[in-house]
Amino acid sequence: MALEVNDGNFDEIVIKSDKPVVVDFWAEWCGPCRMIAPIIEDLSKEYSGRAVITKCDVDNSPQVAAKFGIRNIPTVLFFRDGKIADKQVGVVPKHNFVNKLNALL
Amino acid sequence: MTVCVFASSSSRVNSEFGEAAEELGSLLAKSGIHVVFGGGGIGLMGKLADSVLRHGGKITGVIPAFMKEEGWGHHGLTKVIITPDMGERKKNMFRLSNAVIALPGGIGTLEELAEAITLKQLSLFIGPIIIINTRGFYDSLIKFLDNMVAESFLRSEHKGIWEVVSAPSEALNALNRKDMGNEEWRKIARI
Repeated sequence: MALEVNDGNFDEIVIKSDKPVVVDFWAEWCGPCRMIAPIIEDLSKEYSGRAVITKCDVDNSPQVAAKFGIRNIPTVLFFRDGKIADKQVGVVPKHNFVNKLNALL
Repeated sequence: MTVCVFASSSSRVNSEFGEAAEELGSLLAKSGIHVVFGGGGIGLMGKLADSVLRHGGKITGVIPAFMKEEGWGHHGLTKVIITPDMGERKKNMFRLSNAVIALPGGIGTLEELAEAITLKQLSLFIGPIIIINTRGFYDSLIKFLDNMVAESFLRSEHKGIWEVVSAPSEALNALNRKDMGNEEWRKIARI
């Protein structure tokens, strides 16, 4: 399961991580977000121990969403060493996420 | 309440159309109605969005990724849903909304309005469908719909699916009017 991150635990789980972190910014009312949710779940299994795969509900985490200027959803941010290393906006095939994540390992 | 607005992305149209889009935006914002639209940054869509935001309202754009990449999206929206294609765009717009308002527009607007009417005819969308007939823009479409009834391609009851108003202020009143329930339209859909 992808880890749920929010305003309260974002720094601890994402920024301070010593592994690459994927954050899937989504919302309940966003149809396309549901299309990429299974991909994110796959990644959480396939990259277990090598990367941290998370999801962040923009409605429940307004501070994080504002900090990273998340207006477009779905947006997936890739973090390494606490900084944004890559970004994917919209619904794309799984290999796009895999390629971006592999580049950070 | 969330209202979906369909409108043109053309900037070359008569200024009265732009004024109608701006008036609608301000009225929706002041009524605390969340607006959903196609996410465009120019034309009537752009004017609608600018006006909603200027009056402190909330507006969500639903735009296909290719349009976003072309730079056709509005940049100041409250939220933007990026869809893979045009079909998903419409699906998301309908799913998010309790009512539909059509401002004047071209083929894209016509197609969205036609789908709204179709869905409601089949009870797959419930809620008011309001056509804002600025400058009599939709007169010929309304005539065409009347002809569908005259030639029995549509039942006369179906004319109750949509409501035509001449100004944005009337659209706000129409939003609050009672609507025929879910099951009833489908019962008379097989003509």
